[in-house]
Amino acid sequence: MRAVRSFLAVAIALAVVALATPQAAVARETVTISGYSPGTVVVKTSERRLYYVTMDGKAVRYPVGVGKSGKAWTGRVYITGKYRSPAWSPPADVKRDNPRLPNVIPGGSPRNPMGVAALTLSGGGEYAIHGTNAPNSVGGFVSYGCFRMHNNDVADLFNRVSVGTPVVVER
Amino acid sequence: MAVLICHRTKRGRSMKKLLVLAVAASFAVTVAGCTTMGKAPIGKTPVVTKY
Repeated sequence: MRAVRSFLAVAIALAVVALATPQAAVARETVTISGYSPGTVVVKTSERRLYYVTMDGKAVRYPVGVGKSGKAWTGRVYITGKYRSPAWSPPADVKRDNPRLPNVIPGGSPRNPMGVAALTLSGGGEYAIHGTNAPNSVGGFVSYGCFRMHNNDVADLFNRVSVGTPVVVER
Repeated sequence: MAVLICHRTKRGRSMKKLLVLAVAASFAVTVAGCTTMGKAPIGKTPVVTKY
């Protein structure tokens, strides 16, 4: 009887933890997609979704935070760099808006907005696909034009892409 | 080890050369690995991006 009670207590505790974890509720999923080559990353900003196109017309779909009003952009770029838990420095315009930001935030710091990984993008816009230290912001119009993913999702994408992977950003 | 890399003997000189080559090769492999994988050593290189 005592063992059953302990088992129930542990099960309830695990269920509470699972329900309280926001990342568990927003799972990536495999969907059908057409019109893109396998190996392409597609961001549909109006959907706040990022797709990684796999073989046979399928794609892995992830929720992302995208550019807020006036910061959204579209175009075709490619991945220029892959960084795990990078230190982060704000560019000039971000620093201008947030003068209190330090010049460098170390990798792994809870204040680092890159989270566990960053994939930098070509095009000169200083944009990246990256993780986050603010998981509740994923899925919204929240960024300076970067694509903000849950840390477990960006870690998954990190392993699928390489430097040179094309990235298509659409409305 | 000190005897092996002693420059006074022919064997020592060649061991010293080998040691230098090994260190250089190890460094080159590390740098090449980071470059080709497109990865910086964890948390060391700041990325300058928006967020």
